[in-house]
Amino acid sequence: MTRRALPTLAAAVAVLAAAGCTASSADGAASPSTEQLTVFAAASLTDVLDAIDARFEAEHPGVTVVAAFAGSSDLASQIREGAPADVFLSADEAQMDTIADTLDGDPVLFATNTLTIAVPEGNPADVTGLADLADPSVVSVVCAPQVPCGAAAERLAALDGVTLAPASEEQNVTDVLGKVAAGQADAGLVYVTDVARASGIEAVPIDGADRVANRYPAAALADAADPDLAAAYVAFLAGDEARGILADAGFAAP
Amino acid sequence: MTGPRWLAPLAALGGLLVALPLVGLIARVPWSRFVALVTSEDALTALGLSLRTSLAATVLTVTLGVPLGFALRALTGALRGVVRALVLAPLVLPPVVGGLALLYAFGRRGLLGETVGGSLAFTTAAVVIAQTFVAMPFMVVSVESALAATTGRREAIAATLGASPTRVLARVTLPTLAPALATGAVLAFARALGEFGATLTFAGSLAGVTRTAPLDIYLLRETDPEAAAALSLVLVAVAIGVVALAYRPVRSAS
Amino acid sequence: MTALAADVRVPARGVDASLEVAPGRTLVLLGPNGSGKSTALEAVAGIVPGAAVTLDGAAAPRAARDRRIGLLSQDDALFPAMSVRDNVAFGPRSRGVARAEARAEADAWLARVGLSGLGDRRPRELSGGQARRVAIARALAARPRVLLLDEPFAGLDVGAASTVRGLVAGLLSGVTAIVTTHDALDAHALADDVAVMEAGRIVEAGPAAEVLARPRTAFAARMAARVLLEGTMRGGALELSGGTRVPVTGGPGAGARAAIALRPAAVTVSLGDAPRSPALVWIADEVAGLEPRGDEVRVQGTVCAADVDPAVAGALAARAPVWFGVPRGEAAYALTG
Repeated sequence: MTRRALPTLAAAVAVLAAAGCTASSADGAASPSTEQLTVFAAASLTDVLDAIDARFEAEHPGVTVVAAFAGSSDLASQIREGAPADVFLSADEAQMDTIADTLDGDPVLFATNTLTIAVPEGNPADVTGLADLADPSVVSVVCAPQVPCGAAAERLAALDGVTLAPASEEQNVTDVLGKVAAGQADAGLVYVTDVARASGIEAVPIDGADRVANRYPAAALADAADPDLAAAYVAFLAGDEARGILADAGFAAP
Repeated sequence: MTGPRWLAPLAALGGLLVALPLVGLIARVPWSRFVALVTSEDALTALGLSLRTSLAATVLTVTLGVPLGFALRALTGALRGVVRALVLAPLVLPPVVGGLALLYAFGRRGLLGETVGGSLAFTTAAVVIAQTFVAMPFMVVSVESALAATTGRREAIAATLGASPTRVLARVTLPTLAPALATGAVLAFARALGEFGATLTFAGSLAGVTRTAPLDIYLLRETDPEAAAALSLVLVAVAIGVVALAYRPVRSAS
Repeated sequence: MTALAADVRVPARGVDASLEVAPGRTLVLLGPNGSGKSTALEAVAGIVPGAAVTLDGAAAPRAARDRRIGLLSQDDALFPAMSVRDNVAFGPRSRGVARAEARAEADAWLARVGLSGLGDRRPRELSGGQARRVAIARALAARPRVLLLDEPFAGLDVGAASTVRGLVAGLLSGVTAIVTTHDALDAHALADDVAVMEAGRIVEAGPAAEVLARPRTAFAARMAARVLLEGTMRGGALELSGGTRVPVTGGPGAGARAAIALRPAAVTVSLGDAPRSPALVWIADEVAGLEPRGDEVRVQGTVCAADVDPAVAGALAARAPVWFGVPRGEAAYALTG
């Protein structure tokens, strides 16, 4: 195997992975006039981005947006390893910073997200606020402090002087939601938007949650196949139309 | 038996496919920090937990898997095939599916109810159960195939000598099964050590309680990919050592 | 000493036989390979279902472990993970005898089978003959009420077979036992009583002297290594179906069915019109089959048979006409039914 073949293989794997994550791109990809824009997006954007991409494609005929969703840190490390993304949408600025040298221009903040308490339907443990998550008799799960949602949870708890007593520190929001939805945990700390798209789960709002807002930056990558298109996508995200869709999904403006 | 020549390039390709990822892993290990990384408190906590839970799972696997192997051997015809397929299913189940299945059986809202589920949720015992679930098939297969190779003649003669079934099992059958038991136990241990998906889904992830080495590696990727590589290498070394031990050529001693 | 009676019915293997052994006697179950002898013994021992067994008139327990019927199987079935001593001590230990005592008993039994000093060996370190003797010691050490020996000399080389044969003959005195064999020699050497088994059924049974010396069927005669000549008594001679009259001694009155049983080696073969000794009675027959037996070849005719030198047999082909010469004055006995 030659030296040149290795990156090609890696790229092929990445594209396969991206294709597997989106259902909407399958039909357009075959047409020769189609231009493809590959977007790596934080998992929390999964549902809202479908609607945004549909509008963007409507405004840019012949363009197909292929989105790959995963945890921001996973995506960042894939980009560092050379995955062929055109645009990166991160769920926090720290992960965007880890790939600062591969960006085309500065990141643009396009949304913020705040924490809320997710509880199983019916709220069996009668959780009313963040303080209940310090009670060991309430089985609570949070994200590990190493990942953005966990870091945000720690900051918010510290502001309220609450010492969290989690039964588990999960890898990502999806795992927290899974534990809560299954009734395995009585409460979990997740983003407002996560509760909006989960079933079997209710939200218990946290007073002053906006003190710790997670900010979502978007950036075009220096290696983008069509830098103008990538830049246009980033601009579209920060525009009014996209902001309206994001607001409907629970995201706040930056 | 070497086969036709054209097998050789395919064999080389197959070898590369297996070896290259390991080489890649080794290439990423920060050797100057290696010892410090794998002896850090977090790493030792995770490795220690992995070791303890895997040993416990191996003991459970022997205690339950050997009788299961006997029971399987006692079945006949199509029923044996069906039961064997059921018992072996964890071997081929996607780990997340295994985790969900465990959740629905042993979770707080599982078949066994809140009392059992609640006392297991997010405990080390849940890790051991998940590991036993995935490791058991190795023992059952080992025992069943070893039993298939015996005629039952010695057991029958032992009975005519006045031995109770328990004595026949302990003094006649088990000694002849010893090599199969050892192989099964070693493979079960290795499988338990590598268990990830079911643990993550079912048991959660908390340092010292449920965060085994594979879960720690998964989390470490977020903050310190090099540390993740170092810890991974430890698990790779253990896995290779264990498999080499289990599959070493046995001198014929029947 | 125990009396044994067993009704064995194992339809899956075509066995349907009744066996009886008087206290302290040895019954030799004589039959060709595949006739169901091993199955019958396994059923009597209780490791294969299908035998209704009574010991001294009382029904034997269902479970093999409670029957106290020892079985020496053809494959020895020694326990490979144990020393020879522990193999022999296995029976006493299973009965609850303390370890040291059981080992002492085992050593005594090993001495009786001529294997003193081999107690520490592993079974795989033994020769075939030694392993068989250990298996015998192990079976006896369990103090069985009845001992079953399945082809105890099969699979051994000549020297080992002869050693084990001598040993078994000595050990069986005063033990209620069944020994299976396909070899008439074993039957002659060991049997008090003989039962001949053909395809799972007993075709003849009785005291050894009776069954072996006076077989009533061609099959039993063949198993006893005899040639059976059947016919009708006509004034001091046995008239065979072809009309040949063989002068005999004794036998029932004229007109009765009778037979003589000859050793095949005592029968002579002659070909074509070659001169024939008038000292023998010559029976015209044809060759039905040739069957090598050790140093000799069995020439099987339709009426008679003989064991001859391979050089003689070499000149014979199937269906070839042949003369069998049988001695005069053999003892005839009545065939009833």
